[in-house]
Amino acid sequence: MKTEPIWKAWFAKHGAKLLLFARQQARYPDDAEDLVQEAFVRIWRLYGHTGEVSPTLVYRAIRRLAIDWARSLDRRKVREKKVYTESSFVDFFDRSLEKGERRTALLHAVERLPPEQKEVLTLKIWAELTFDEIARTLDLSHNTVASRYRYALGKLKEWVPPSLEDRPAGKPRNS
Amino acid sequence: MNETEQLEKALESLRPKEPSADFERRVEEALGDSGQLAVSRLPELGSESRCASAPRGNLFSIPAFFLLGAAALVALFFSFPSSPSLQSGTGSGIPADTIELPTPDMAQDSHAVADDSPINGVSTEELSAMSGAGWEEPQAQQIPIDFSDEGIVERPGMSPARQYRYHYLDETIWVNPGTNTFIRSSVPRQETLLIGLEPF
Repeated sequence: MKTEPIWKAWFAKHGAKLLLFARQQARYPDDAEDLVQEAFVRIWRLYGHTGEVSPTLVYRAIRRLAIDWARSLDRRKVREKKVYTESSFVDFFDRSLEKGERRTALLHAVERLPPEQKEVLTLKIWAELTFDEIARTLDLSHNTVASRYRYALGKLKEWVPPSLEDRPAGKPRNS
Repeated sequence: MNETEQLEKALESLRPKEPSADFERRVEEALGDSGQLAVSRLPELGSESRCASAPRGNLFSIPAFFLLGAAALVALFFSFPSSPSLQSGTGSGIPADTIELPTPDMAQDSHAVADDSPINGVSTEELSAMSGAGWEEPQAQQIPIDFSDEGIVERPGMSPARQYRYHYLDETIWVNPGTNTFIRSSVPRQETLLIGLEPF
């Protein structure tokens, strides 16, 4: 009988979202994969035998590890050995699917958001967590999370008007 | 659909980059044995043996009981294959005339089990006569029964670990096509797996 570890299906579903969140939490972008690996392995060792691990636990572990690593002297030594590359929020998305001018503008607009609003938006939109789950992940109140989300959407609406057409980026308007 | 919903929909349509295959390999290596735990729950002994909601409650359900009982009978038989007290009635404190020894003839009259079953009426002489040539290579298989999560255990001088206990039935079948005889041995076995934990 052919079997496959359940974690692979779980990771295929949540891996990209975890990585996106980790890239925001990591002080250095190249730490993101290490963060996801460490957090996921720890949580899966605890609860993976059930095959039903709540993604919220892994998001929360990523955040806590990011804070720990930012303080850690050992981690600083590891970082010094790495060559870091500059990357923006836009680079964290699949560019092949990014077809419209409005979508490109949206990504650049999200990048401009304050970090505390950006992390709430990421967990709500791409990680698909509820406000309660986000509040537990970020150790915030439900109201704070909801208001940060509203502020973020308000700014995006202001910066990216819906009148911006959803056509291929870089293509002249009157062609 | 209002403006906010349109905006949320547009954001949702943007897909984050998938993790690279190399990264997934790294995660797999880091997971080690713990990555295999979820696929190890594969008892195909029937869904009824898994009906208990508690993770360790279904080990000794009816099919497992039956198999373990059969294994005990076979083990009992092999434990006393040449007991002189049963063969001749001498060499023990029990007088021979107080024991009704089963004879091959009596065994053949029994219809409770097959006549050629090694657990009913086959003497050691018959068994040794059958154990000569003609036996094929034994077929061995490991039948997973169940596993249980026994929680986190402390280890002196080491980090705590999560303990899993796996139960198997090791079954070996010897077949002699010439005499149309088979012997089956079923031995229960358990393995304990400790997955080290790194406390936050």
